[in-house]
Amino acid sequence: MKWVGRTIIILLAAMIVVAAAFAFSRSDLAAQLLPGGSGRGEFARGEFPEGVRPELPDEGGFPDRHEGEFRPDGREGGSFRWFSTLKNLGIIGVIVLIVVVLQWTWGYLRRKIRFGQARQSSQA
Amino acid sequence: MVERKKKTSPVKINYLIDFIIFVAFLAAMDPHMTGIAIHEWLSIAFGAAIITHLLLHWRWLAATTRRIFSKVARQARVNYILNTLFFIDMTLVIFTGIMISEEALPLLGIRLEPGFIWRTLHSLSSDAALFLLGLHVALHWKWIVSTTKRYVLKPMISIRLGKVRQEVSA
Repeated sequence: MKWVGRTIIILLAAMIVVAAAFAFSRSDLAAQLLPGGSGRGEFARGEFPEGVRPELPDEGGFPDRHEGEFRPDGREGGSFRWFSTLKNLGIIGVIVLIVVVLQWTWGYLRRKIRFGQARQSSQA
Repeated sequence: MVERKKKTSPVKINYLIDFIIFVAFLAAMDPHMTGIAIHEWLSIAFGAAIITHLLLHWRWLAATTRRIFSKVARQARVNYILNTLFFIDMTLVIFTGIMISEEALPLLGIRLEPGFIWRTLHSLSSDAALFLLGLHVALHWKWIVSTTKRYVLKPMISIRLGKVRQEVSA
């Protein structure tokens, strides 16, 4: 029973987010913030911003980067298949590294300052 | 004689579930690798995984929610704010994903009008989710390292040592 209640609380919190997203998609703000959107969660005819319309070739006449490499189920063929996953893992790794280094530096500086203060007070 | 059942450590369960969620997140983030159908079903299942994760950490969640506006450690406050943002973002990712579903919902006989706004929101929120996951992992890095040492590296080393000892004695 305890778990059911907690699950309902989590689902209610999620429903609030969903309702907010739905309200946002219907607002004028969405149309202003997201170029090309009609403001009703739809992409009205003729509203495609430049370069977004999938069937049009780009200005240079080059084919889409992945053209011909996708299988019918949406999977990518060739050596590109794992690239995006490795890239995502790399991004997470870099963020972790930055935060850990920042935390270590912060701790080191704090210890240094405290040690300096304690030495000053003991000398006085 | 009464046999005592060996209880699995909750830390071990948390670690295992978090690891599965992490791998599932990486797989779900890349529809080019999995294909659209697996991407969609995995992402819907991800909702259940998030609920399980939150239920397993309910004590911390409830205690910090009660104290968030009064006395609470800075690290816990930062963690709480980040986790709230992450929850909102993941809900958005799953919801907008459902709104632009091409395989999962049509299979259930539900057809929604796909919209540019949902597609854009899905793309933006999933990019943000990757960034937030990085921060989430970074803030729990000490726990991840210590638990990996305790439950993965140490048992592996002891098994290896046991094999070496057996070979030497033989």
